[in-house]
Amino acid sequence: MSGSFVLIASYPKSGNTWMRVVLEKLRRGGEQPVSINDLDIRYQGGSRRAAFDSWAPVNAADLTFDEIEGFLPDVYRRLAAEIQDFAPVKVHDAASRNFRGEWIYPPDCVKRVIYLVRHPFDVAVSLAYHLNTSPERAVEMMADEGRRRRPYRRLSQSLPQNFASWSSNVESWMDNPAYGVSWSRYEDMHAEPVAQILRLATAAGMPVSRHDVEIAVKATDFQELQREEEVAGFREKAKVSRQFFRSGHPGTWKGLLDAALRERLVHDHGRVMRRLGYNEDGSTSAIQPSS
Amino acid sequence: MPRRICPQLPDRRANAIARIPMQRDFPPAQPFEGPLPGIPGSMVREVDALPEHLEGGELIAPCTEARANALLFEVPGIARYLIRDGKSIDVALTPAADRAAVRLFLLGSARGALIHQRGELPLSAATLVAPNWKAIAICCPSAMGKSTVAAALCRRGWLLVADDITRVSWNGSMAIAWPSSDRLKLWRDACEMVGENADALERVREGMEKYFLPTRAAATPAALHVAVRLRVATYFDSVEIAPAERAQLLAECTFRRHWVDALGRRADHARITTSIARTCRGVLLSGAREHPIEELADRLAELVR
Repeated sequence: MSGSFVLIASYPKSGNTWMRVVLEKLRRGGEQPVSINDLDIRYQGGSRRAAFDSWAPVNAADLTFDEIEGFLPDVYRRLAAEIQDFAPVKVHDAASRNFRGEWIYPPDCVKRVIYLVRHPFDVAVSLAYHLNTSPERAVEMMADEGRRRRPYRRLSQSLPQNFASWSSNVESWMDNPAYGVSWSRYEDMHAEPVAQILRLATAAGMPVSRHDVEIAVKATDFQELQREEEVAGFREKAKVSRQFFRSGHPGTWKGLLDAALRERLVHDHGRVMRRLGYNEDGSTSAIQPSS
Repeated sequence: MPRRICPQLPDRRANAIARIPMQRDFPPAQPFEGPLPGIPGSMVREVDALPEHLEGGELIAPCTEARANALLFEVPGIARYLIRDGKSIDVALTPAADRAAVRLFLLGSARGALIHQRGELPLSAATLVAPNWKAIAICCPSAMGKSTVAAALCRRGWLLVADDITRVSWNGSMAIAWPSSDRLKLWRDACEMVGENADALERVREGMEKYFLPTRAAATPAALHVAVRLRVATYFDSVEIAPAERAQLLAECTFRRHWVDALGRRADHARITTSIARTCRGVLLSGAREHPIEELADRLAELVR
């Protein structure tokens, strides 16, 4: 499979930004520092809307969700044609097709999908913090398939996204034969970052050595990212969010997610959790990683 | 009839203000026929069908084909538009299309293409005339709040010249912004932000929480004094663009800039941006989206004092 996008896909708050920082460090190589505010954002947020408005015949702000999705595959093809090497693209949408049956991200211009998944207990707590909402609301969001998309009241800088539920998001990518997918659990990335990132970067076609990855991981330590956000801010942080880089550790749900909400998450996502080795007590069991 | 948001203006300005609705509506219930607002000599026709491809044209973007002086684009499920020679727009509707949406794209992208073909400048901008008669073009991509701040300025007595796409021509000594609209398109939350009840307004199209807000509008063309490019930032900062770099700013704010070459209008585009840059200031204003809209309006007002 050839193409120009490397999709860094995940449900929100699952390590996507950290992964992008590490890959950017690897792309630059050597001792070149990487700022969290230097990440390639040409294909996300406001830039994605601007790119759409540049190439589609009419502006996204005047289109319905379905109409936007109808144009997106061709817009992505046009953008991919401009890329020299490859471009990492942050994706929180579930993999989906538009009303014509085309994949929103055309597989012919996706070089690789790196999918990151995190224990839903931690996702719920992190999502609540990120959106400045309650854990209850975050748990509800994680169960929402997004099928009934109501017209939005305000125009966000980003194009509309459809995360689907946490379970659907995971399975839409991991079980998708249209793409070459390499995935990792956040918990494994945290426990053995060098091995996991070396595997994922290699799968994405990056010619990197173990030594390169060791340097990149050291330079992008989570506490460093936190420190930079405190000093300089982070341009991708949502307006409502107090802090983007909150806690990089697995298990931060403890003391913050009550038993009823944990039960609700297990009820909603138990099947996918078991498949990924995510236990009902919040622990994680060993499983075989993807290629 | 929705109430107008602008306060009563001083008598001395009354003659310049549209007292009757501007000829601009193309009511969706009627066939689309007639000249485009603010572009004398142009003609819109509703036709039964248009070819699937543009003869002699090339695919330049999704659903968009072009050759010198002709551009064909389609919004699936809505309509196909053929714009030729800076004069005519033929529109063929998809059966059962939402006619309000057809009108929206006619007055948007189709009009923008026609302005390109005339060798004029379609600026991605909302343009207003300040109480001291200086016209300001607020340039930025969608979702940065230009229509919202335009509504806030209208509440202060400013007159709307154009929303979304401003037609700018050069008369040999100054840049001219042509009036085309007496209403702004605002999302529901933006209506609330400027104190308007969205439920009393006409929807831009079905299924969308976006509404037409009537405003007081300029009835005559205005000399363009300054083009301001808005940027999102947590801080306010205003940077005057050097005269030599103004043309670049105007080029970057051109509606569908990549259509210029395909339409064979590169030289015209370079000429008009250079000409406009001679008399029209350029300013980069940081602080959009991150501050109360009235504060952004204050900053814009300062630029024309």
